[in-house]
Amino acid sequence: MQQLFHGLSAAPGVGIGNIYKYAPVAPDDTGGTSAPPAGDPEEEWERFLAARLLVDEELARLAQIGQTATAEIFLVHREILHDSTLTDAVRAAIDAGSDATRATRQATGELVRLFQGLSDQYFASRATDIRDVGQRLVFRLGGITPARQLNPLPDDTILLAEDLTAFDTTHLDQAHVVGIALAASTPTAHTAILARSLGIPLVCSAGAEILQLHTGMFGVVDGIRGRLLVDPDEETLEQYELTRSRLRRFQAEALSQSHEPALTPDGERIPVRVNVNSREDLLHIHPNGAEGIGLLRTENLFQHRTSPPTVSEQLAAYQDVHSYTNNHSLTVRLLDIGGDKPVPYLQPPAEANPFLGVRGIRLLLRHPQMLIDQAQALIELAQNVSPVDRIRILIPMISKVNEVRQTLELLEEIPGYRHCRRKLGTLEVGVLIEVPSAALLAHHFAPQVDFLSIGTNDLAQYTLAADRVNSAVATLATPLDPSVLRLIALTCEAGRAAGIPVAICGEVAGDPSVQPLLLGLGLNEISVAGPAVPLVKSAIRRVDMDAARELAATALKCSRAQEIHQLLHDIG
Amino acid sequence: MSNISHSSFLDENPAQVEPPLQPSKSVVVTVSDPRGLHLRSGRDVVRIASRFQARITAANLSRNTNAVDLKSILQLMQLQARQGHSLHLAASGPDADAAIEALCSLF
Repeated sequence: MQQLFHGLSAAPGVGIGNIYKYAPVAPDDTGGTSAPPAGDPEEEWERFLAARLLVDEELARLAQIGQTATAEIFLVHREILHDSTLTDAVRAAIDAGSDATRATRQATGELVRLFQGLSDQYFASRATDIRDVGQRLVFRLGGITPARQLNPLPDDTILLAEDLTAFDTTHLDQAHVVGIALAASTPTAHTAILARSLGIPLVCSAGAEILQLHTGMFGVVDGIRGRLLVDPDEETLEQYELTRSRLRRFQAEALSQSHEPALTPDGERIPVRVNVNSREDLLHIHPNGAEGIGLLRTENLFQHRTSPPTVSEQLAAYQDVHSYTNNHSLTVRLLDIGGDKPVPYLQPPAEANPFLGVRGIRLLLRHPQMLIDQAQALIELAQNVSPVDRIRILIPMISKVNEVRQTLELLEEIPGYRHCRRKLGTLEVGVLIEVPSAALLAHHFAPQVDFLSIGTNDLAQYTLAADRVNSAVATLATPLDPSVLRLIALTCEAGRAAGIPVAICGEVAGDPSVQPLLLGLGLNEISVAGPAVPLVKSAIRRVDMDAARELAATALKCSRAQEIHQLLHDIG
Repeated sequence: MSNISHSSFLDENPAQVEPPLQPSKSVVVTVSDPRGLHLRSGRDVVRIASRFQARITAANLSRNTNAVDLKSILQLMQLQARQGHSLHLAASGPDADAAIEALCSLF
């Protein structure tokens, strides 16, 4: 049976092959007993210095090839290699009777554990850098390193691991690895940067469950949507094979043009923006040529504290995020929280089903001061930007027309709101369409707002009554189901009639092959994960709008998702 | 200082302040780099610090950390310094004044 694991997209592309599970041993845990007896401490220290020199030369060489981002990794590793904290620890272990290899393992192992215990994720991830340098040293000292298990590998290998170091990634059998799935790691880790430069699709943060999978299982790494599929059903596999061959064709071209705008052959310009969940996502905006932020989730700002953030705290946080948009707009989703992610100061009632309970705008309207404070911070920011890098407020979880009206009434009262929205043009308000009723009634509130944005993940879940992270029903919740497409079409119609743009910010939008369908349905803006931007832009440049509209009209007549997948293949 | 908004976007622990030790020259600086004191900017700090004879330490007041050796990138990273955090820099030695002055220009 098909198994689906959700992770984060870290390097785009599709890899199809057999899983190879890599379980490295920490550098300090291997070969202890079989190591040769330690020589004279001075001799061992000399051995260490000789190995360090070789590693230094190797890193200097690696820094000269490849892209700037990759080069930086190796320069940083040289810094760690020569760091006094590391070398003092090695020296102390040698003086205490260890040989150079064991001393290196011990010193790096202790530092790795220390860093792994840090609370801030960025700094905790530096454990990988230290382990990497340790592996290179041990390798030069003649010791056994786990990366030896990574070369050679069989054809069409999907490498599965908890995490990989940059050393692992540079030493793996690149010709035979078609995809990488990691339980941990982040899209900004060095491994992800390397995977992108090597063109190997990578999904990270897929969760510890993937470590239960075995070597030899057949799977698909979907680096576009951030998924790992095991034992895919025939139909899904066929789709991925087609996607893979299409991707190969235009991947190279996409990367070279990522900083150009996405214009269809008819000259329609489609802004391609990014979805931002974390600080790390901000770093993907500029390198991928994205035009600002299409969805900023703000829940992080409100959680793990005992009182709500003040207006000035929020303003500072939004200002910081805005500085990464590269002179493009910033769309901020108002706090979208419910019983599944309780915040203590709101004292939310216990709910049996929080996804159908008091969440998003329902919660905010019960705590109007929270809504007012958040909007106030955004309005203050809007007073200091231009219409080009304007601020867009996105209202989540609208299911009733009344909720839009009530929200707008609250906003009207906030100082600066009218001036920014009506005079300066630096503030817009939009509705997130993620509940079927909102799509069905969008024509009623579209004239009162400035844009609509369709959240296809939730729209599909709510339309098909299927939880997309429950693998038993996840395949039901496809946004390409005809029922969901009809809701998207209705939303686009409402937007068109009101003369406002309609955006899409769900996972499906990151798939280059669905762009003709999306544009044909009438969508005007796309928001995706950072690494997907170049391929999406490239796909948009190939969309013939007449053919796309025809495709959408045909798709809307279909009765099954399978037929829609077939239509997309036929045009690919 | 206990309410630093830039760090609040992702950081979970509000700051606590503890009075620092008093060496021969010290100063409190605020991290201005939007990415915090990450590996690359940290490298510059270590480079500059290493030019001086003085013993130079830093503590992250916003996270209430111990003082670490500023001439080691691996110790500097343990400060987990994000934008807006307050760092207490202290130097002791013949060129302590010059060292602090040079380091301040990096924040």
